Amino acid sequence: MKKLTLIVGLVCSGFVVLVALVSLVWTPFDPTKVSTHRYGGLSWPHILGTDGLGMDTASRLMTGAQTTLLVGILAVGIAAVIGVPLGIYVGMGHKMLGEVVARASDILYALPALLLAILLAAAVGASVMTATVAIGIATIPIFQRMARAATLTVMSQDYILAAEVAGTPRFIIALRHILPNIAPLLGVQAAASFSMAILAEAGLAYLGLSAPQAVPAWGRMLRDADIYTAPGQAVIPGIAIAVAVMGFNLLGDGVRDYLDPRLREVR
Amino acid sequence: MTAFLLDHVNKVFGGRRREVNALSDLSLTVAQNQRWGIVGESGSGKTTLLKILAGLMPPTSGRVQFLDRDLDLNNRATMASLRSSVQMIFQDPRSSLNPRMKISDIISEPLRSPLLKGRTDVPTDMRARVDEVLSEVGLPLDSADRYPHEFSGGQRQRIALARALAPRPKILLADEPVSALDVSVRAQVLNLLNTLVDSFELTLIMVTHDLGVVRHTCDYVGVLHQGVLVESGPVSSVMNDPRQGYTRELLNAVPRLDS
Repeated sequence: MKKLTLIVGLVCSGFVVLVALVSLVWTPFDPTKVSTHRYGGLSWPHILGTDGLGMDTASRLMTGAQTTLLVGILAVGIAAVIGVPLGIYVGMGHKMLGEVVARASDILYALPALLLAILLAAAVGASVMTATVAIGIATIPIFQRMARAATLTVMSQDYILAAEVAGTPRFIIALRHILPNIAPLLGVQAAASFSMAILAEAGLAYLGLSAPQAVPAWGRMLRDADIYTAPGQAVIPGIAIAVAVMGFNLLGDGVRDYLDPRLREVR
Repeated sequence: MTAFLLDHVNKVFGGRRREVNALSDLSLTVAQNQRWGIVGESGSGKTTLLKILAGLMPPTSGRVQFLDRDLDLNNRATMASLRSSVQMIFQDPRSSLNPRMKISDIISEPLRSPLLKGRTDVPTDMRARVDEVLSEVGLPLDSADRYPHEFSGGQRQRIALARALAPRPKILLADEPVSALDVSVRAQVLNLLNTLVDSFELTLIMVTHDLGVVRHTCDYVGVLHQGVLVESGPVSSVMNDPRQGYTRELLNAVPRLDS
């Protein structure tokens, strides 16, 4: 049962990655080429039809996988690169700073990604990048808290004292002892946050706060689909989003279940 | 030369009303090559004392000297000399070895400290030194490339000993070194500790609640009770002729077979 979660997660997320890779070298049509063939149904050569501007849906769907992965990687990257070092630093001591960071985290946590995205879009214009940065920033508190909690657990181990007696500088202790021991937890969190970021970007795109129409992105395709004349055009990216979100979520769960017994032993 | 000198050392934890005196007015002189056992129940300040000696925390007041220099945690030269000459082993080798590090990396960690860079008394060829200490603690040389979970509790404590010996320390601190081990391997590890202390002419300061261990290994004993050193002196005189009531209580608490 546990293995099934991992396998389904791997297959779904692997499929998304594969499609994105293929789209780098080949798509049936140019995904941004406008034609007079508007709202075409499922037929050859446009196997998934065309959208309101006559662009090939299958090609846009494939290229959209790139956008989706980019959003996930960048958003999680921003959150982890800022949140994890901060969490480790606070977890290793520094009570005063710890309080400051905890309160700042609370404030950021209360601020929805949507609001950040609106602010950023208003400031520099809506794009996939502004949406991704907004989601990334909104995810920082999750990584900061998790890294801090995990660091506190590791700090109570005697090998930290042993490292101090060995004269190891604090910075090296963080890299050599803490990071490797909290990495499995962070990896699981990264997979979960990855799928959350994909979903959030799709939502922002639907509201017009992410990709402009020319950019192939699943959330944007959802927005541009006319549910009265061509409802299928909304269903197709919807399924793609669902597969990607479920895939990365299950992957995270599967990895966590797989690592759990070993984590217990380490503790 | 004295290994450690403590002069009216106090350690207070917490602040504002809820103060705890972990150590009160503790004075103690440990000469080189002596083997001290510090005994006391849990909460008596034993571990606090070791942490102060190991330079992990400063005393609240009082003076601490090691090898005739003042212990100043902010002085880099002093800390370099402390880290090269004072090493420590811990109670639970499951917790004192990083599960994600190879044995060779664990043992060589003290040698890689930037504090010890350029010191002539510290071995520089790490691989050779790791092999050397592995054989000294009686572990096979192929242990170097393995991970802690592949070893038993007794073997892990040997690894911890190897790490402590790597920089050729003069003083070894031990925090209940055998109490987390199976009874069957305690004697082995204790004998190994004795042998190593003998052959490298180490000064040993061991904290324990086990008087049997003290009798077996140490020649001096200090009795801590609620942060106060109530009695100290040679093992034979303290154990055979305890002057303090608390020491007598401790001695009587040891279960005997003949009673």
